[in-house]
Amino acid sequence: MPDPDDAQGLLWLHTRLLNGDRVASEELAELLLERLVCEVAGRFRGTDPQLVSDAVTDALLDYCARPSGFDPSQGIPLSRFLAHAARRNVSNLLRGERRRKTREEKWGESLAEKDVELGASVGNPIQNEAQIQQQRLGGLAQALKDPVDKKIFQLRTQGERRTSEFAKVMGVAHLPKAEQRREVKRAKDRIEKLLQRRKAPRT
Amino acid sequence: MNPLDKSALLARAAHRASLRPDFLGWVFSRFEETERQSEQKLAESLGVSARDFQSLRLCLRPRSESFALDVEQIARKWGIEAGRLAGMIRHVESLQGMADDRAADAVSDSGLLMAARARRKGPKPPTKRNKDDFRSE
Repeated sequence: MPDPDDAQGLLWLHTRLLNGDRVASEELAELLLERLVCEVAGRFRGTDPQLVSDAVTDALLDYCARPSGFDPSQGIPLSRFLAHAARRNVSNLLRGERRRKTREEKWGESLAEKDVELGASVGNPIQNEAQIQQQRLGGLAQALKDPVDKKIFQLRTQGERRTSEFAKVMGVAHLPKAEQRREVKRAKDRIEKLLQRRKAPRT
Repeated sequence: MNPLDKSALLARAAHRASLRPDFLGWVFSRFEETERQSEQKLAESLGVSARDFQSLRLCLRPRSESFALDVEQIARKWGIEAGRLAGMIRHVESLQGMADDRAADAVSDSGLLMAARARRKGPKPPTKRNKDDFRSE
């Protein structure tokens, strides 16, 4: 078997491959694979060694399958030709890896934006509903002429439930509790009927 | 195992050669699949060590035009019985040929189905007679 540095020996292997030798590919791999992997790994420090070895292997196998791709008349030794092809393979693999990462990152970002958009689209109907409700209540309050009735209605829309608060607005806080409750209930019922009439006008 | 170790590198290269139809590794992989044989069993049946079997995978596949000579060359180098190796390769090639035929049949069948499919009714292109009718109006 020729020496890896023996250009003539490698040229002999090349001639054998061109002539259809079936075992020369194995001899070439045995001879050059380890050396080429070390050399290319040195040029791509920090790169995954498996990626480098795959790139070198692919360069070797590509050449063995189509040895006519190498032209000795160009004056470049076979080992340099293969090392160059392997480095190009590593660069391509790394570029592909970078593209894949960028694509994944972009996809991740767009997903996050979509989440925000989705949140906004969910929030909008609720917000709109609250605004509509507020406008509706404002319109109903306008229908009440009596300022005390308006105040009672406002307290109710604010969620006030204590009788004492309504009694203060109505000016009946001095009355006994049972009396206050009766007066407040009467006022609330009256306002409710007024508003119902307003909501459903007579045809 | 050190990924840059020579035997590990050759084993990985042999694996990659198994993905390329130009190499003997591809033939062995198909044989392992179809015959449900392990790599070790196959190496044993050929009478080679596991290390030599990896090397064998890196050899180029025998060409059809010089099949016997190519098989003889490979068999001589690893001391394999040429008939056994040739039988294995022919077995894979015949299975591959059948698979190719099936694929070709499937393509031609789909062509027949397409021909038999009812055409969608659409506006008919104007015939010469229609054009004349139009002119006469």
